[in-house]
Amino acid sequence: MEPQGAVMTTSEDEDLISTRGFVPAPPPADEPDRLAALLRLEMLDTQPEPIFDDLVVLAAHICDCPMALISLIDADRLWFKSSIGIDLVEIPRDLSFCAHALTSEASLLEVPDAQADPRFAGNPLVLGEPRIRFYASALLVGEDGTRYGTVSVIDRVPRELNDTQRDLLQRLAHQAVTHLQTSLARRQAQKGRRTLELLLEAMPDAVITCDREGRLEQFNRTARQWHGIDVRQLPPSQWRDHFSIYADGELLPPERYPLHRALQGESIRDVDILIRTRSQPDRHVRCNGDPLLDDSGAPTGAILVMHDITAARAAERAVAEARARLQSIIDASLDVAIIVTDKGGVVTLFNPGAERLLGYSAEEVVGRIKPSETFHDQDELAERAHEVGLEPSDLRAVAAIAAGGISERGVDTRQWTYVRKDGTTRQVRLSVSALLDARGETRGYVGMATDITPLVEAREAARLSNDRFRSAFTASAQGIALVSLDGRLFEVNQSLCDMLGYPPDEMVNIHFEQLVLPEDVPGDWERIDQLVSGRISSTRLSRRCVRKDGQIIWTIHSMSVVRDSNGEPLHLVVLLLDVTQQKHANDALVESRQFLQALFEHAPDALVVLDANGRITQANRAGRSLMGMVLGDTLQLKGEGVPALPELLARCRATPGLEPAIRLQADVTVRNRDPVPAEISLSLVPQAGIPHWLAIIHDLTEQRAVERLKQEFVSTVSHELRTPLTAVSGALSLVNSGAVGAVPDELREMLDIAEQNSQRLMRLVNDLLDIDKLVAGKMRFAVETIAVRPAIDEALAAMTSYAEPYQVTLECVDSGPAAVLGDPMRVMQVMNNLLSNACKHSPPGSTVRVFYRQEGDEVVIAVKDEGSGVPEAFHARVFDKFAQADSADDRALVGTGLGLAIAKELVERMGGTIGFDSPPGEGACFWFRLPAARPEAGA
Amino acid sequence: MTARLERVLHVEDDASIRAVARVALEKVGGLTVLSCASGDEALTQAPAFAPQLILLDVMMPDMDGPTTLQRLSAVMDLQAVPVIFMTAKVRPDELDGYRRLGAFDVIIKPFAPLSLAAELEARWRNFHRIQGG
Repeated sequence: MEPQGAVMTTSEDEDLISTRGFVPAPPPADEPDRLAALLRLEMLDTQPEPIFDDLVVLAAHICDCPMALISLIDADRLWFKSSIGIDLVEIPRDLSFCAHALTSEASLLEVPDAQADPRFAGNPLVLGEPRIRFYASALLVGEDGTRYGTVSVIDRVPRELNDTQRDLLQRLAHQAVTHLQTSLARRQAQKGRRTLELLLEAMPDAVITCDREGRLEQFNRTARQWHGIDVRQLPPSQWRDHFSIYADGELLPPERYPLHRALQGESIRDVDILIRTRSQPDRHVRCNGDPLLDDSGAPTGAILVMHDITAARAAERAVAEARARLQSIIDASLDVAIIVTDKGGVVTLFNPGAERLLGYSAEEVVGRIKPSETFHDQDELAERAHEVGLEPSDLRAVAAIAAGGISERGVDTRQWTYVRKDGTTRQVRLSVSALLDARGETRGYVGMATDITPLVEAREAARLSNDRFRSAFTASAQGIALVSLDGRLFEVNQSLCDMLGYPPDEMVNIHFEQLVLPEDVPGDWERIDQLVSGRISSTRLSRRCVRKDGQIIWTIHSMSVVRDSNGEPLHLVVLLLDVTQQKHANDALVESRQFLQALFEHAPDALVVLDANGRITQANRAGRSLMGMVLGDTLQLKGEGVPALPELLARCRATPGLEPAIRLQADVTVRNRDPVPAEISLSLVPQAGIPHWLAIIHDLTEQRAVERLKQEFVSTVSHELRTPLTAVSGALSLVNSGAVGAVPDELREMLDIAEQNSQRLMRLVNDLLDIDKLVAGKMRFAVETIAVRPAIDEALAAMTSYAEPYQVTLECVDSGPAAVLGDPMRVMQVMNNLLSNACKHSPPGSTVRVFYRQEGDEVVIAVKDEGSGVPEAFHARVFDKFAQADSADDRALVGTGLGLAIAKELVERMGGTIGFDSPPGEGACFWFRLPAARPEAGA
Repeated sequence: MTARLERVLHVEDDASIRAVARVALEKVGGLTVLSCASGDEALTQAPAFAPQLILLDVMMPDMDGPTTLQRLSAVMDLQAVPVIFMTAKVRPDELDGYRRLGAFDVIIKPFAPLSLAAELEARWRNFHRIQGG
């Protein structure tokens, strides 16, 4: 190594040695670059690393030196990456031996004895610890030639390395450099990876990777967020619990996930899927992925990048929907014709509304027809063109006119005449606007036309109607007034003026309140409010109005409200019809009906109206209470020989009228209730043309009960009277007969009176019993042939003593043989009664005559007196029980008042009739007729 | 059989009627009369009296005529004794009813006192005529 050191010696070095005892190594020419490269190595001041420590031990051992080190040469220091036998971490660069190696041509610097080398002899490291005598170093040279430092060995004794040691030392240096660079690469790789991970984590796209086996590796934040979980933490079997992947609406199995397809070697390009999780809104993502291959092309895994297209999808959908909606509106607008033309005026769109309006189909029109030439009335178009100073032949101008004429930007609406395919015309309201492209250039025109023909026609009709209304208004017989909403008449016709007695000029502006009764005003206002508010559409009611002269008239009053096209009320129309006369007639009718109704309702007898089946359709109060009849009940009649009610009703048909067609007694019942004895009168009373029957049901229950009571009473009383009477009259007759001794003369008269009156009382009682028996139907008649004349003679003989006190002569006027059929005892009783009656009413000295005569198959027997006759007022009651005419002659009062009644009953029971004639001033003649019998021989 | 009616039993609750009947039958008719005021009285006295004819009021308190007749027939032989009911109730159906109850005939109140005895005698004779025939 000698020559090397000699070479390095310079005069300048000499100077240094002279002053400091050693020579610092000069910096190499490329020092700034070298330092920069050294810094890039990022090894300075790093922690010890075993690999370098191993190299240092190896170097010391190979070179058999106590000290070895790996150092890096910084700008002003020598930093030890690793060392052995030296406690220092760094030394100043000036003192370093290694710095000299930098500038050396050779890759190995060897100093056999430092004390002998002028560059180092005075170096404190030589002079002092570590007392360097031997030094050898191999340069650490990077791949780019940068000299970072050295691998050095040091001994405290002079010596030299053999060639093997030198070679090995250089190899160790090479090893060290390799490690330095590897370490850098590793660190740089780590850093890059961290950066990448950060980048991945921060990416707005989801990035996922998997290894060769499909195990997930990368799963960045976005991916985690979209899946709602870090899927890496889940076994694949649980993925479905957390998220689902869909493609084209179909649920994908994990083997068809894009990442898995990429792992199978497929290149995934713009595949759209939907990620659905429990916690996240649905997310549409677009996937791009590839298999990961190593250098040899073998698969090592797969990567998938997913980009969120949810918003884009939504926007796309919104656009599509808006378009569809617009299309559907266009299609559905049957009432609006929508026609789009291109700039040249040719139809490009023709919706169903247009088809309907114009009668063309879209196929016929689109791309073929220009609305301005086909749909428009050409004269009208020319006229409009002329108005705005354009030539109709100018296509653009015509289009512009059709578009509203002037402005290309604004919307123009006006009425046009459209000509339909069938040649008919329609009036349309056409709005035309220009269709602009993105640059604002006119692309075409949109026309929207509404058919206003009905409106136009309606307007015309309204005009005509108004004309007609005018003439009707004037000519109407009804009073008509137009009334403002505040109640003032502003237009009236002549009829109204006539009706209310005002001259026309006074009527106008009059307030309606002046024309009605004050108490009606609030109700009128209420109705007006209801009309105006629309709660009712019109009113019609009977109404009083006040004429100018104060007279009140009845009217039919109709009121309705007139509204403008917006429905706002304008004024009222009031129609008045004078119905005063009808009103009076109607009132009378109502009163009469109410009167009849009250009569019906409150009649004491049950009144029911029946249908043909006997069902009750109407019943008055008495009817309802009779057995609790209700409407709908069927009335039934029961009794011996009583036909079924419907049959009876049918018989009634023939004799309509107020007179009862049928009158009968029967038991009536409804719903099997206890029958009620009644007298029923039936008459036909058609209602609304349908036959109905009025049944008047007179309840006989009470009457029957009273009769029964009376009979029982009479029977009892008679019996109770008879016993004491028997004793009285019996005792008197015994006394008067002298059976109990002679009667003194002074007593005789009184005793006679007593006996006669007791006998009279007895007759009365007997008569009462007779009547009782007759009424009860319990008297028996033994009918036989009676020769009349002998019977009369017998009666006269029996009555002679009776007639004596009245000083009346009895005689019979003979008419030859005659015979009647009857009970002899009862015939005798009849004659006795008539004779006693005649005696009582005969003046003293007069004669009572008995006549008899056969008339046809009857024999009439008459008893004629010469009395004052039967008073006119008494005629009707002559045969009533206990009926006795008032008479000044108190002898008339000695009768029982039952004789004639009994006579009548007896005669009638025997099939005869009884009566009387009493011509004024000729006395009375009572007669009875009995069936004639063939006179018996010898009678 | 006695050719003449002599003894008549008269049962009547009304004392006045009893008195009138007694006078009519005894004074006018010359008959012997046992007047009883009730059915009970008749039941005790009649057998001893042995009437030839019984005149029996129908309506009496406690025991009416028909009942009295029924009881009497138990205490004495009435085979040969006509029983005449006397009543103020005179309805044909009632007459039939009385006959069914054993009455030979009915005399209606008020009776004629002067002819009562004759009427009874006529009925008595008639009874025996029928019986005998």
